[in-house]
Amino acid sequence: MRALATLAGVATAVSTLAISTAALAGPAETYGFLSRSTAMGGAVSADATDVSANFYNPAGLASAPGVRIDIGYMRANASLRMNGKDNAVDAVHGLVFGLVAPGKLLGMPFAFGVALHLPDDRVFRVRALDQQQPRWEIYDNRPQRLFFGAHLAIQPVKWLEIGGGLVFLAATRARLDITGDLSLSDAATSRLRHEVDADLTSIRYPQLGLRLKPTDRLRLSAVYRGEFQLTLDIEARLAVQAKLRDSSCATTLCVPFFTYLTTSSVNAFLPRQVVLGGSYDLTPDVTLDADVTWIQWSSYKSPMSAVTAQTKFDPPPGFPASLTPEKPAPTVVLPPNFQNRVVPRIGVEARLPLSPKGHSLALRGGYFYERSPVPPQSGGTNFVDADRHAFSVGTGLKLHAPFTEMPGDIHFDLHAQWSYLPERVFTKDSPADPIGDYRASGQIWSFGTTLGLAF
Amino acid sequence: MGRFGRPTARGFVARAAGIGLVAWASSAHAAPQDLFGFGARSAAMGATSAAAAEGYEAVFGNPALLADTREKSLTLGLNFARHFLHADTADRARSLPTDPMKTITIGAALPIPLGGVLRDRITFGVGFLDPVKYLVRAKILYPETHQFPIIAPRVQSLAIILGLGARIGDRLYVGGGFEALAALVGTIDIRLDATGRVGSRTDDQVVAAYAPIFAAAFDLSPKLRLGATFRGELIGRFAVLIRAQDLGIPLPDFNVAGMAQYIPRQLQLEVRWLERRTTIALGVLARQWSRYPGPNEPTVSLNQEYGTGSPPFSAHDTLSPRIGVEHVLPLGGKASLRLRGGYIFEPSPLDEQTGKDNLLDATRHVVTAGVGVLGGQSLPFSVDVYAQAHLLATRVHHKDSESGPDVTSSGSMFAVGIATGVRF
Repeated sequence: MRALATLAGVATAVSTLAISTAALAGPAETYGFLSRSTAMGGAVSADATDVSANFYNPAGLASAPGVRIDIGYMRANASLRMNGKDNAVDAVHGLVFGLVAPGKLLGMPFAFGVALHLPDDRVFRVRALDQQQPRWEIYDNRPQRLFFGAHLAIQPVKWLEIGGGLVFLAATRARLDITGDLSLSDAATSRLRHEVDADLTSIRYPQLGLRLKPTDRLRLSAVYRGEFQLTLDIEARLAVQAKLRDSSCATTLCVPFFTYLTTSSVNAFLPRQVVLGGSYDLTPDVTLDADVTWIQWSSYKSPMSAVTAQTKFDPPPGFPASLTPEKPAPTVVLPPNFQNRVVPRIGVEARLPLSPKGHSLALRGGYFYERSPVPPQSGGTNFVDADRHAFSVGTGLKLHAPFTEMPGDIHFDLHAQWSYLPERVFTKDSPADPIGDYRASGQIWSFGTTLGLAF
Repeated sequence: MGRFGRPTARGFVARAAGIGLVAWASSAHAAPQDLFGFGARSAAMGATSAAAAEGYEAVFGNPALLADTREKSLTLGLNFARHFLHADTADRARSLPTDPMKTITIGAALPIPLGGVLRDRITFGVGFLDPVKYLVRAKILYPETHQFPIIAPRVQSLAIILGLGARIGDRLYVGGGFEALAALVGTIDIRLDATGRVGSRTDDQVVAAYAPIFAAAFDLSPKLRLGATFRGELIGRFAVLIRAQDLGIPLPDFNVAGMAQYIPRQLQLEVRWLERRTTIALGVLARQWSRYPGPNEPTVSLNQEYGTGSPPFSAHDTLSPRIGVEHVLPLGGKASLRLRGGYIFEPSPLDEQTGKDNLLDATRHVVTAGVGVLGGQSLPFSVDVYAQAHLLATRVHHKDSESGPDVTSSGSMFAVGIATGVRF
């Protein structure tokens, strides 16, 4: 029976690790996840043992001292400009929530964690613009999506923690079929019907983390995050009878009209990443963290829609030429040619005791530098981007056992992050380029707060 | 043809046995938690749960009863189902192709370790129903196409359910939560660029739809418990507006839209009787199908009178009685064996299809069974399996003179599942 219990327990844990879940790390990757970790510049892969470990390093969940529940809110407002004019990049805002539940499974420390960033407006958005349309590729649409993660972590020996899960996201595929009578005289009175066969298909990729504790004051980490992307493939078939009344309205010309449209695009691409980190307690009350993240931007896919259109229309003699459909050429999608980058991050936290009862105040700061992966835009594409310097500060108040019903800790955390994007000049090869040369710069303000209950 | 359509005894057994083989193929389905219940125990007990739910399953069945769970638990389940649906006319026997269903259930219960008067009173629960292949599937057919929109492959959708239960005093439980699913809305603007090549501007969004869950339970005595659960209406729409104004021919905007997923507002009332080792749950589930607008929407927004079927879609409310039984047999003091069974009567919300539409449905009889092994304190695990047989009554749809031959609908649906859990 004991063997059966072990088998069932391990099977459940491993299967859940393998099959569940997380999705779409966009907003957390760009603006951080939960106030403490964001305030420390996101340099916490070796330090996070709270709910934010679901994103930064799930191995840290195994060191959670007890059950913890966090809920909060964040908002990021971007002021990104081309030639001095604000491009009205959408703000990112949403609810953040998570929990971690540690325990022992057959004697081994074990933890289960869930984390969620739920945008106010949408789960995620797929947006594809004209190829030449300038767009802030990193900040415009990529953060507009859900982050949802559920992870497991174990501590097989005291100095080693392992955690992970599979991340999933959705690829959209749709087949649309439209039939009926199309009125060329008054399109709005057309008698058309449609069928839909659409799905959001799960795509999974691994997320794994390790945390080593060689001494009581030093922690080291390694994290791997797989590549993912949102694809949108739509086929639309229009098979109708195009009807046109002659000038006297005495008769109706009726011509079969067939159009087959396909559009295919990739959005919200998250490149493969490897994170190495360290965390060191300078004193019992001061911790210094540092991370280095390698990001494989070179595999970035263009978000441009590849569109094809085929039409079949054989009008009878005398049919108005102005109502004869075009036979346009398909799109040619130009490669983005982004470049791999290494992002350094640093963070510090100082904890100040406030009372003998265990109340304390934490002061935090952090910084990271992201060199733009976007190459010069001298040709037909206009992916606008600039280097990013992100400075963050924050504070956290911990109240220990403030009342009888709350035997654990209550945490109030706040953070603010300012990102500065210095001016970058894009020069076109062709003087006849319809967009021409331009300058890009900007700044992004991000704020957030988290309420945590730790037991 | 028998009372419940085509299955014979041999066919019944063969198909039930075949589910395990075919279920790993690809898939589609209507909201599984509404069809089968949520969790292996509930599914085995006739989808009773408003007074009888245990563990993470209460997050859907009755969140108030989460408060009865005092151990952290994590459960993983696999569920498979297969339809065998028929729409016959006098001159043709027609089996409707239906993808099998394959979903993963993940559930967790987390007692909140508060102190003082709140000690051992509040538990948080979470449940995921994750189709193995799809997060959302929308299949909206022409209304005259023979289809079973209530039970068959209209959609397969990820469901996320969160709940919180609290025990007030010794007898009263209250709780709440919400269900969420995804819907797709957007626009595709087909246009020619400056070089004459065709391109598009696409702006599609997956948005979340939410439905609240409110629940309460009251112990009239140690043996007798009453439970009530209200779940709000859950709508998942597919709506993509296609514009193609640059193709040289005047085209209207195409409103390619429809109801991809619909779970009606519902109220479940139940009584649970616990007699030593035997639990009996008896209840009724009321569903407000009359608010369901039907799966189809007009293709041309300015011509609302065309494209939604004929006659106009209508559905009516239903009352579904159900019963579940569980009997516990000790296994040497360290674990227990649980034998389960149940029955559901599901009346159809759709009328006979006398016009050109063929949105078919019929009264459904659901027989359920299952078995579980629950370990004690020294063996913190559980394994549960269940099976369900859904048998559709044969129904003749007498067509009017302009709508073709009469249609006889019939069929069956089979579901099996397994769940393993750990407590830590």
